[in-house]
Amino acid sequence: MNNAPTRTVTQKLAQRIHAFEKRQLTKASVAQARSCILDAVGVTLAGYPEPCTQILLKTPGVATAPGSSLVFGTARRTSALDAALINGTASHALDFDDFSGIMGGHHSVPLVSMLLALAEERGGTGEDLIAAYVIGVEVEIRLARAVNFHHYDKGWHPTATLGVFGAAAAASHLIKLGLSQTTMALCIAASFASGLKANFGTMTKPLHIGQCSRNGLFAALLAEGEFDAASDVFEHQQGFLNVFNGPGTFDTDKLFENWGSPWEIEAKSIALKQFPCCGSTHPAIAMALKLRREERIATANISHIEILPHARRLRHTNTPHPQTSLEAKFSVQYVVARALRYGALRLKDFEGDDHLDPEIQHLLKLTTASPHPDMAEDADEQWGAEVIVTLNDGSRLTRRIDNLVGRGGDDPMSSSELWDKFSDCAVRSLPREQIAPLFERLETFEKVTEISQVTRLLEVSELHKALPKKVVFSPRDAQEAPETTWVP
Amino acid sequence: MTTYDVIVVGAGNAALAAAVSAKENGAERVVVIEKAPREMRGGNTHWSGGVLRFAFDDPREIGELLPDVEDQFENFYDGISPYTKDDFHGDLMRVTSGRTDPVLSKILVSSSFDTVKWMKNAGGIKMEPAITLSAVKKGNVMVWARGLVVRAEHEGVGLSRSWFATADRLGIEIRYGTAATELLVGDDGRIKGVKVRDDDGISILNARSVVLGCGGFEANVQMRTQHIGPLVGAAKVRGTPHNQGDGLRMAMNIGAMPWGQWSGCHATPISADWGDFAPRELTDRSNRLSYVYGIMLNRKGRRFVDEGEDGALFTYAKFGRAILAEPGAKAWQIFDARVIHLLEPRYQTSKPIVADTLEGLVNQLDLDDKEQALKTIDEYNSCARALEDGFDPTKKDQLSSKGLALEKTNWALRIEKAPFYAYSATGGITFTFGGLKVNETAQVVGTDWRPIKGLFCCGEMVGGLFYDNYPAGTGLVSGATFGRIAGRSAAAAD
Repeated sequence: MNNAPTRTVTQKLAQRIHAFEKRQLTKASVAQARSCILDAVGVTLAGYPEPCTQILLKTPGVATAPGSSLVFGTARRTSALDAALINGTASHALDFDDFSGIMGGHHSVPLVSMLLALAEERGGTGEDLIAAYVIGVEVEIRLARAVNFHHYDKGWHPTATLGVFGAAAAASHLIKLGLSQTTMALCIAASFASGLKANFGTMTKPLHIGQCSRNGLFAALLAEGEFDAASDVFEHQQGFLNVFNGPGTFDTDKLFENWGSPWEIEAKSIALKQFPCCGSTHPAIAMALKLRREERIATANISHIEILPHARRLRHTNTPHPQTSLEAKFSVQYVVARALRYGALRLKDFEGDDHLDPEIQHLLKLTTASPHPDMAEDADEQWGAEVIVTLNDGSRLTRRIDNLVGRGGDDPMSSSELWDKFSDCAVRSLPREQIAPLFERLETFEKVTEISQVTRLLEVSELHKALPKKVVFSPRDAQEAPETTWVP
Repeated sequence: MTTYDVIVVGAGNAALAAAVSAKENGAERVVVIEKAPREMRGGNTHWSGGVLRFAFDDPREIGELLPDVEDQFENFYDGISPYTKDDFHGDLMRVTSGRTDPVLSKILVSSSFDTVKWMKNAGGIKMEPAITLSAVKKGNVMVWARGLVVRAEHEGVGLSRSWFATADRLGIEIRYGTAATELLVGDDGRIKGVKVRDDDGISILNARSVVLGCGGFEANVQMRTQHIGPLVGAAKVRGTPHNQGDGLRMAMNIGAMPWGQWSGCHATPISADWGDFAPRELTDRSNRLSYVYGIMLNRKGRRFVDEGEDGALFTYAKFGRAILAEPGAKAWQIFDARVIHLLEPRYQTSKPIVADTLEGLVNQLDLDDKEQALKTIDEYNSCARALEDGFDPTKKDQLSSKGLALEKTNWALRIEKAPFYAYSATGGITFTFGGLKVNETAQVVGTDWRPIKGLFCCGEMVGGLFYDNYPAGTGLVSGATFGRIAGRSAAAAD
């Protein structure tokens, strides 16, 4: 293989992965990686109670292998492979994770829980993990540049079909595979690539992520043991590019041009999802929150709410009276009313009967939505919205944004916004007292010296489950209130 | 050379309260000098439970701090007893054996509620009911403890986060990794700035006034040994490793007067599973206070205290020191399956050693005399009691062992139901009580009894409030009270 006259795509890619060092990390790449990793951990905790994660955990033979890697939100430890499968699936269960426009998919979830699981088994500092993450994202998005959007439009789920290579690259980097082993990891991973968009909207979509991160890791571990595969697996007539895309539908030059300048993780098209509902409603939510904050609107004074999203954003979110919590996620009317009334959108707003909140029902009666007249259907920017609130005194307040595709680039989520989302997510799996320290630790993830500093806060002790959930207060009686038994 | 209106040294609750207060009182250029790097910022506040003790006459007044509380809990106010200024001051007097500084304690108590409201309004500190920390479980209901109803949302970590967010919003500069090493004084006796050390070397920052809010000396082994004694010198540190007494030394170097109980500190039994410093991510959850439901063995396999002498609240301080006096400054707390659910939730932060037999358990412990350990447990069991004899974890149940040289006088339940559990314990220091003499404007007073112009202090550095012990929830309110005063005074200093 090393004597081959021209190097294969895999070899060239592996060489770059292998040569990558921590000192090449820029300040911007570390900052963005930190936010993405923090966010990925949060959404994983939110996804743990979801049926896809729970069914997976109950499936015979899953997470029964002994090992040192934690199933988040439990005290259960298993192999890094199984932990990557379960935590990876949980991380995408709610589709609340960050995404890359170029990738047409989610760049973080194939990597983050896998890397944490692997670090628990093999060691690694926060900085090591960030380096592995950055190179994993690089591989995913570089591949996307080479194959998209033909790849995406054809029906592949790029998060999985490309994510498996990112996971293989990241895992190889973390466990410091040699050049030929790294090459083999990518080649083995090619035969694991899978994930069909036909399964979108089902439990199998998040399973793609568990699978691709597990398989990427599996490929790296096999390669470490000198497992072999075909080094020309990308360009081979029956290899990844020709089979998954087809001749003439990819451009391998794009894989390498201007490599690392800047790193893909620094791209403005990488964005976080701020709200736990359909991304098409986010521009309107952002404007409703802005109105509420800047105009100090009291909902009692509202006589009319007019929502004007870009036509393409409205088509699947025009749900004036959602009847289920799932419909509420796709109701621009519901989410705007919530934003105006409560100043936030939380996971619980889309659970149980919360969509029937009487105050929101009242606001929905005052709400209309129609495509924005000035935002052309085929414009370059298709993620705009305007929200107009008319008050009882006749005054008309309006906010408009022309394009908002998630939060990133010049408009990143602030530390407070990250915390609001993270705490909302984490409370689904963690005891309350672990949430803020975990966030605080992840906020300076690059300074983590042992991964247990993070994972011990992701573990939920069996003791915790014995604690009573419901609090009943005793009425005060004639006796003097007791001294606290709590010792600082 | 950089010139500021006010330099605040330290970045915990008290220091950031001072910075925010200075800004709100007209100081334009306020800088916070934080010795710790960004990832270790925030002093001991990060490690605290965030509980706020304050005086109120009508429980409904608390509603101002907890706007949505009635939506969350039915009859929330019904169980809360008023906690008057006299009650608060009485508690402060009681736990300090009457030695709390009369002037400072009056200020603390009388402005306590106002301080907490200010923390919410000016400081942007979100608050929540302190149920898990301060409500006492009685049967199936929770009974509110006196004076402790509110804490910062997400405890000390949340409190610290909110302070930093507010400082940022107000345009207060924070310099991480910058250690103040010396206070600079002019010929006129005024403070004129501080000398600092950071990654780039030594430099000088000038200011009209300086507020010291950089903690006690709990993390400084030399000062602990010198002032508190060799036992506490050997203690593990529960909080920030950065509270090394720097501010105290700097101030005393220019003539500040030491004040308060320099031989005193808050210390408790904590897990011995970690190194000299408890892990930051575990915050205040290092405590190991449920020994009342089991027994403690030293390395020689012997008991050394009456674990059930009283509730943990009344014995933790001396037992923390007692463990430090044992060989290796270490003990094992032994429990059986019947009491394991009674352990404080904080026990979740370490993994117990577990076995189905007592022999199996003892064999896994790092004891010098395992035979003796088994003998001690056997002897204890032969004199201890059965569950049906009246074991009651909610009160002193008088269930005493009968016939031991060292009896266990309450909760003396036999250790007999498998599985058996062992948790390690040692002594851990929280903070020191010794500080500086300040006047009612939080200005530092010299050994010549003259206030030092331009020098103020707050937080753990204020001497004279606490002796032997302190009422839970007082530290943060004291920090914010004197921080607020110090900031105001520093802004007004000419």
